Amino acid sequence: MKVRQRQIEVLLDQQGEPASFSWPGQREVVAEIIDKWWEGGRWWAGEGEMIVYRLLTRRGGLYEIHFHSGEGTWWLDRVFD
Amino acid sequence: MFVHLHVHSPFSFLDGASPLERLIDRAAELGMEALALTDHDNVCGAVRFHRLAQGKGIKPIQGVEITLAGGGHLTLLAKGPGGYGNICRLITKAHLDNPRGTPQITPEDLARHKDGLIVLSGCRRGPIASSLLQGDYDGARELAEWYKRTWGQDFYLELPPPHLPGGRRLNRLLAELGDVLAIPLVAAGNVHYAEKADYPVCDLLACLRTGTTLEDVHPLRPLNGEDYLKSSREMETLFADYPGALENSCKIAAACEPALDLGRNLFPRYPTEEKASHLLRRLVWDGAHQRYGSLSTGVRERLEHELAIIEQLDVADYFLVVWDVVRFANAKGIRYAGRGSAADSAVAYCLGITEVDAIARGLLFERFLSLERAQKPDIDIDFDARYRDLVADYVYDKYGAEHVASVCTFNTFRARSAIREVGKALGFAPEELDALAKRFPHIPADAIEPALDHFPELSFLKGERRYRLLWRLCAAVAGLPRFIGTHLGGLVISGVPLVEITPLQQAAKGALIAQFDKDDIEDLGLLKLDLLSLRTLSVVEDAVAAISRADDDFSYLHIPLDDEETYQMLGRGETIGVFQLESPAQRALQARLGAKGIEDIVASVALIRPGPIKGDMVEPFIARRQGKEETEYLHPRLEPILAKTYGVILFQEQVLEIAIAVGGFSPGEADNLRKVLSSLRSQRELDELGRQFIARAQTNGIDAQRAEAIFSLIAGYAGYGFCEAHAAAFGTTAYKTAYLAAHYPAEFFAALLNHQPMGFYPPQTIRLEASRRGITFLPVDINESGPDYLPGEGTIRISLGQVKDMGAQHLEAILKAREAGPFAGLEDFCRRVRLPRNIIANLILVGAFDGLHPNRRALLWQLGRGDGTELLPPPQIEDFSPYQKFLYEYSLLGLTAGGHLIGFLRPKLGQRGILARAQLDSLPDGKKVQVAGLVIRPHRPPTKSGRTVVFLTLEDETGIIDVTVFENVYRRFGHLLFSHPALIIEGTLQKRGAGLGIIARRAESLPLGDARSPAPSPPG
Repeated sequence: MKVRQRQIEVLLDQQGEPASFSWPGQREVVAEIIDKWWEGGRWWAGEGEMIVYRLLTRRGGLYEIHFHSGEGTWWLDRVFD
Repeated sequence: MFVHLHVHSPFSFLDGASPLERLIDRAAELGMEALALTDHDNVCGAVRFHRLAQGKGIKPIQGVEITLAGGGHLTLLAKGPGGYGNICRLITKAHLDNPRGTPQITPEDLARHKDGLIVLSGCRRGPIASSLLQGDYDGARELAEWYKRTWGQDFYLELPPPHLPGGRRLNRLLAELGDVLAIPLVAAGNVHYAEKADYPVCDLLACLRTGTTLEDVHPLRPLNGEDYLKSSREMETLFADYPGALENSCKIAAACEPALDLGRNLFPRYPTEEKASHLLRRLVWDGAHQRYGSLSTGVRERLEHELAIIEQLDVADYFLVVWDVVRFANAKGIRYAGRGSAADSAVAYCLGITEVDAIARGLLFERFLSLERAQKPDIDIDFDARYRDLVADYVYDKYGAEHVASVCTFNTFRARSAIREVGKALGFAPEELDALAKRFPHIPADAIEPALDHFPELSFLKGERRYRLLWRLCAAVAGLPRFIGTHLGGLVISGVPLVEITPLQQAAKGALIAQFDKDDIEDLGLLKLDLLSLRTLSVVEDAVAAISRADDDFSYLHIPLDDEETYQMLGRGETIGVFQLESPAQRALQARLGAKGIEDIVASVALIRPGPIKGDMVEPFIARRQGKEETEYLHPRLEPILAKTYGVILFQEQVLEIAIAVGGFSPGEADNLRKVLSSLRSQRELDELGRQFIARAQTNGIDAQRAEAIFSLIAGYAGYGFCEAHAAAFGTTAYKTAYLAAHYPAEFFAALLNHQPMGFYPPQTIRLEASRRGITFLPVDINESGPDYLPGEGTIRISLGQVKDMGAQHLEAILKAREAGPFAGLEDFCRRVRLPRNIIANLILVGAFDGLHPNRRALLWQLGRGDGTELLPPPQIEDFSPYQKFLYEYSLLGLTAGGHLIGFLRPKLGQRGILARAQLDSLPDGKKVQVAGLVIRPHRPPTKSGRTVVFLTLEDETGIIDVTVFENVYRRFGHLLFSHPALIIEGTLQKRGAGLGIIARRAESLPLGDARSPAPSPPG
């Protein structure tokens, strides 16, 4: 497993779920949303809510990404080898 | 459509973040037709939930999230009263069959009490969901099969909201299991708060529950803010894949009926072969003959009137139950006194429940009981504190343990508790929080921020950015229940087994408590009896016993109510230790009022209350009582009502009588008006009530302007006062304790010291007051002192029991050894009594061996580090100084036989021109003076102007003096008043009547120097 806190670009499908995500030099297409959950974040420190996805990509990669609702940004959290 | 069937309120104790009112308001906003309440292992919120939900047109479904053996959760819903009864039985069993605080229920018990219940498989901590999350599909299936076998069609697989990791998969597996086993699904919200914005509060409460800080990780903390009361539409979106699960929530709701039937009479029937009302009548008439001798028409009519109401309300059994309790107390010689509005009843008087002659005083029975209000009677009785539990045991024995329990209370967050607990979760150091919390007055937790502006001693906190979140979160938890406790005196007695109506659980002190507080108990139709502990009655009992040993003729019952010496003492304001009359405000009042009869004492008790104070009634009362001002009435009809209180409203009954005489109200309507007035929440409500009163007064022949003025009078009083019956009951005890203090000070003050803590003052102040009255205090003496303070002729011997760390077993060992003869010295003592070293050392340091050896320090050296089994040779060593001895005594006894901390500072204070209390008597009114002393009980009572005035008492070696600090001075020096143990006050001497006080102009901290340091550590 690798931990990668980096901002990513995400394209959504018609249901509003991630269809693909990318960062410079790499693009992944979502094959399956394995899990999805919400995290409240460190609200006492001003952090907003996060929606976390565990995704299987078409190339067989297992990823965790999250959407930071306060900032409107997407982040790559983990890559499972 | 969707119905929430899994909802937690704050009665889940630190696992529910929105008050029931908010939850139900939100449910109403969302257009919900039904709602369930499923708190953890209790139904504490059931009655309020029932009332609130029905008030909003929402069907209340009673339920519980019960904890299973092993820790899993299961959601139980009552289909109706029968199911509710089983929920109560199951909760009771879960609590009583397990160690306190860890309720659990076994599958066998569940099956035994299964009727009338709908069972949902629970949240992620439910046994089935939990097995599935752990990958144990077969285990989950086995459990599901058992539940289905037990409950059939009344068992549902609960689909939790899928917002947590693995949530979507869990619901897929649950659906699969449901398909395989033909078990229906139901969607549930597992609600813990009304709106998403409340999530931080829920998370914070979880930290308090788990003892973690916000930065800690704990599996029981909520991961996200999705446990709010979602709308039907939101739930439909969430569970779009399971439409049947949504429909089933409505189906279940339709199958459940409101389970509570409020307003029933579930009173126990008094065990008698005779009809209760007949027995009551017989007892009342017998009692009436004993009380009055021959009965006048007035007495007969009054008793008939009361009996008729009692019979119509079907509460004769209640009176018989109470009569039986006081009969038991009488038989056992347990001192008691009925208090409260029950003393408005002549029936209660004739039954011996109260000692107030309601007929002679012209008290209105309807303040106690009326057909219009049709409320349940509520009788409070004070007992000698030592024997209250004996009386309670009698009630348990009489009605059976399954019919009697203690009433519970809900401890809620207030400023100090919130600061301590919330602050801990925020990571503040406990010492910082303790210091911070102690600075705050006893205010609600959501009044902290306004208090920073209001109280000068808190103003330094205003700019502190680091506390901002703390204040905000304290406000958010304000009023939420923290834990369930035991009501001080309330017992609930039921005609049916209690477990059918309320779950029972064990309180910290071992008593069984119902899961409802006193208001809910009354709504449920159960009988509540307040058996209170009153230490004053213990003091009276002990003082009377000591007096009677020397004076066979003494009778407390026959203490003359016109004793000149007692009234003179009261008139000097010398009331420390006197029941109800010892506060600074009361002392000041007594010194000005010049009470001359028992009615003055009754009035005094009622006068120093928020109602009369805010209604500006104190000064007119005093002036008119002393004939310095004419008594005036707003209308002639008020004269017969207010004449006895010189035209001012002192008693609640007078509000009723005014409403009757002026507004033409019936007695019951009048009491309703009083009740509403005392619980007004807004100016709008008050205005509306005023309009109604004025309109009715006008039809009763009183012009609008005068009616308005009269309404202002009663609204100003607003019910925040005593009822006359209560004041009369307390006033008699107040006078009699004053009599004891005046005539038998050694016996009275010894008894008072034996029952500390009680009253307004610390033991040292009581000692000082007794000394001022000429009582000599004798030090602790290992051969002379007993377990209690011992009164003698003009003396009081300090008790061995007063010595720090002295336990009952230590005392017993000393007294038993002493039976063989007095101790000859430390060596003899240590040979005959085995005690821990610290207690022997404490005895030496307080001078208990002074009669046997003159040098305390030498004895301490002899004791060395050992426990007395081997003493060291006596050293040639100088004894402690008088000051050191004083400090040891003060710190190890809480009082000293002589001397005073300020006395040691007197030479220095004298150099600065600071006077002793005793020097003030000869000075003229208005003289500018400086005094110094230890600060006793600084407080800010309500004032008529609404401005803050601080009252405090300074104590020096010659006495006490009351200090008044008005707002302008308080603004400048307030930071000193509540945080410094000793002060120098500069101000103006004020002499009013026989009283003496100081109006403060400035304050400064009095450095205690060595006197402030803890006592030096004993050598060795």
